Amino acid sequence: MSSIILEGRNICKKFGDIEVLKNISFEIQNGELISIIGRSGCGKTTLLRCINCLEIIDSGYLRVGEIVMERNINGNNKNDELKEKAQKIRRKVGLLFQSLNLFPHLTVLENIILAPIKVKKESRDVAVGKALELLEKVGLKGLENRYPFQLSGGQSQRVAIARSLAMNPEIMLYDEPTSALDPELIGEVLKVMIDLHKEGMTQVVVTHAMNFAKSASDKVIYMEDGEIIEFGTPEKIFNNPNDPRTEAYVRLFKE
Amino acid sequence: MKIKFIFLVAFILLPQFFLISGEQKVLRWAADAESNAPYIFQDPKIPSNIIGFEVDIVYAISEILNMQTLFVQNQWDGLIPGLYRGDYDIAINGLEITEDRKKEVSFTKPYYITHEQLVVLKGVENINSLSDVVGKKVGALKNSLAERILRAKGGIEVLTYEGEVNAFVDMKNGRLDAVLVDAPIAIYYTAVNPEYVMVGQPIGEISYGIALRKEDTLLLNKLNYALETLQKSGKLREILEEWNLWNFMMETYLDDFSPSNVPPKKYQYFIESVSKKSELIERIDLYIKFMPVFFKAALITLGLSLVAMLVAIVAGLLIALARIYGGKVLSFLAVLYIEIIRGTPLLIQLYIIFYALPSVGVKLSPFLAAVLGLGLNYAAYEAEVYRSGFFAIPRGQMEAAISLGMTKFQAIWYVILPQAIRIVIPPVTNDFISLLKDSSLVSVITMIELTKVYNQIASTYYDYLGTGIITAVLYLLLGLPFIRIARYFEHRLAVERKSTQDYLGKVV
Repeated sequence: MSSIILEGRNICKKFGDIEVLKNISFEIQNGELISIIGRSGCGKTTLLRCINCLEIIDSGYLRVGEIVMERNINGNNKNDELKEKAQKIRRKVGLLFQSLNLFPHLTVLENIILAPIKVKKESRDVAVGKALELLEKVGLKGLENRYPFQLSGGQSQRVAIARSLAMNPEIMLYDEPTSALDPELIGEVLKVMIDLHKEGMTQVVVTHAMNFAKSASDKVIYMEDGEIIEFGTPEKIFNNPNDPRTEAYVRLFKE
Repeated sequence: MKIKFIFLVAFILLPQFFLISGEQKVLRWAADAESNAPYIFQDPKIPSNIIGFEVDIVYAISEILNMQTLFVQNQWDGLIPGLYRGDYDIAINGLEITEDRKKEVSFTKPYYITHEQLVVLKGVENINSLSDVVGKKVGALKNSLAERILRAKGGIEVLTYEGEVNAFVDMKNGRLDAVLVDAPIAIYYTAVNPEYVMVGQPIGEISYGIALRKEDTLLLNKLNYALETLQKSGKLREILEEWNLWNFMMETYLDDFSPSNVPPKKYQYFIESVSKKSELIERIDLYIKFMPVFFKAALITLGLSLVAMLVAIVAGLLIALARIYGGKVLSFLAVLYIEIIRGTPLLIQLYIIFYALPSVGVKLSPFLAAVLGLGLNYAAYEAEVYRSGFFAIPRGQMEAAISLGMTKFQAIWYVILPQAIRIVIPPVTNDFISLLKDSSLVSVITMIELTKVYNQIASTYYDYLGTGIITAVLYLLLGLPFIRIARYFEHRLAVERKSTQDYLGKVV
C-alpha cells in the first residue's frame, strides 16, 4: 500500500535577501527512493536541511508522517512551538551529511549507541545489541571498537548510516553521501542504500551520481534556482523531459 | 623573654578563638612580620618564631590584663582595614599616631617616641643636616613622617620606597645621596651593614601607638591602663633598653633620667645572628634551617593554586557556554564579565574581595578570598581558552548530533565538550603555571604563602639574593610537574589530532 509519508507545500526559505527555496511543493510516497539532482547552489541541500529541520522554513507547509509544521508568511508561530515540532520531526528523519561526521572521540559502537541511550533512553544492552545488528547490516561487523580515524571514508559513511538507523527513522535523507569518497568506495555506500530500499525505507538523496539516480531511484527531482522544475520517473527525466531546462541539464551527462 | 609563635598554626586555629573572643579573654593582635628589626620580625636563629620590641610590649600588656594573645599576620598597608574586617582587635606595628589615622581608629597613648634619622654611605662628609641635602636626592618610606619632612623642607628631590632596604640599596648604587628613616630602622640597619652611617641631629618627632576600632572604648581604657602600669613599673624602659631603643625622647616622656642599667641583649642577639652570615658554611646552614618554613609555604601556595584553578576551570566553562550558546542576554553578561575582569588588575580585585566586600556583609576568610579572587580572575581567561576550543570543533559535529535528535544541551555535553576539553588541556595547564606565580599577589590579603615567607625571611636578614633564589627555585619545582603534564598532553594531542584532522579533513 502506498501512502504519502512526506509532503511539502509552498515552502519558502531565505538566507538574508537571497531566496534559496521558492514556493516548493512535493509529495513522496512511503518506501520510495527519490534522487534530487541539479547544479550547485540550486537549493537541493537546503531543501534537505529544511526537511530535517536543521533549517526552519520561513513559510509553507511541511508534513513528515503525521507531524505538521506550518508557517505563514507573517511568521506568527511561536518560537518554542516551532522548536518542539522540529525536535519531533528530527526524531523521524535521519540525515547523512556529505562530510564525515562521526564523533571522533568515540568508538564506532559508542557513536551508534549515544543517541539511542541519551535521546530514546534505551538501555545500554538493548542499544548495543541493535548497534551490532546494524553494523552487520552495513557490512562492518567486527569494527565496533575502532575509532573513526581508523576507518576509510566509505566505512565511515556506512557507520554514519547505521548511527542514523539506530534511531529508527521513518525517512532517511542523504546529502551527497558519496561525493567526499574515493571512487572505489562509492559502491559500498550506494549498496547499503539499495538494500534499505528493498526493505521499504523511504529515502531522499541529493546526488551528483547520475547513474545511481537513473538506475536505483523510483523518482527524480530536478531543481534549478530554488524551484522544482520537474519531478518524475528516471526515464521521464533523463530521456523525455518536459522542460527545456531539465533537458539542458541532463544532456550534460549524456556525452 | 622570648615569645614563641608558630604563626601558621595560629592562623589555622584562628576560627576557634572567635568563640571566646566575646569575653575578651584573647587579645588578637596584628602586625606584618616582614616589617624588619626591631619592630616585628623572624627570629634569625629560629625562623618560625617572631620577635621584636613590639612583640615584647604586646606580651607585657597581655600579662597585665591577664589575657592570652593571638598573633594575626596582616599586610602592613591593610592593618587598619583589617581592624574593621574584625580579623583582630588591635594593630601594633610602628603605626605613627597622626590626625588622619585618628579619624579612622582610636590610638592608645604612645608606647614609643622617636625621631627621623639621616643615613648616608660611610665616607660621605658633606651631609650632616637636613639643610645639607637640599638640591640632593633623598630616599624615604612611602607616606612616612620622613617623606612629609623632606617635602616640607623644599628643594629636595624625594624618592619614596615600599621598604627601607630598597632605599639603602639604591643609595649604595649611587641613585640616592641620603636616606631619612625612623631612628630604630637606622640603628639596626647601620649596625648590621657597616657601609652605612647615621649622621646629624635627630629630626622631627614620631609617636607610635596601638590602633584599635573606635567603638572598642573599653579595650582602649584597658590598654592605656596596661601601658601606664608598664611605664610606672619600669618594664617598658627595660624592654626598650634590651632592644637598644631607649632615647632622650623617652626620658622626657616618662620623666625618667636615671642612668641605663639593662644591657641591650636582644639588640646584640640580633646583630650577632645576622652579621655572621657572610661565611658560606654558616649561610648554607641558615638556609637549611629555613627549609621547613619554606616548604610549608610552598605547600600553601600549591594548595591555594590548585583550588583556585578548579574554580577557574568550572567557572570558565560556564562563562564560555554562556557566551557561545547563552543567547543575547547571557552572552552579553559573559562578555561583560570577561572584559571587566581582564581589564582590571588582579591586585585591585583581591583588595575589593577582601576589604570592600565585608562592608556589604560578605566576609571571607583570607584563604577563601584568595581562592575566589584568583579563581574568578582566571575564569575569565579560561573562558576564552574554552571558546577557542569550542570553535576548533567543526560545525558538522553539532549538526550531526542535532539531526540524531539530541537537544542542544545534549550535543554540547556529549559531543562538543569532550572534544573541546582535549584541545584546551595544554593551554589550561600552562595557565595553571602562571596562576601559581600570580598566587604571590594574595599576600596582600594576609595569606602567608611562599612569596610572603620570602619577604619575611629576606627582610630579617637583609638577604634578598640567597632567599630570593631559594624562593624562585621552589616556584620552579612546583610548576615543573605541570609543565611536564602540559607537554605530555600536547604531544598526545598532536598525534590524536593529526589522525582526527585527517579524518575530518576528508571533507571536500
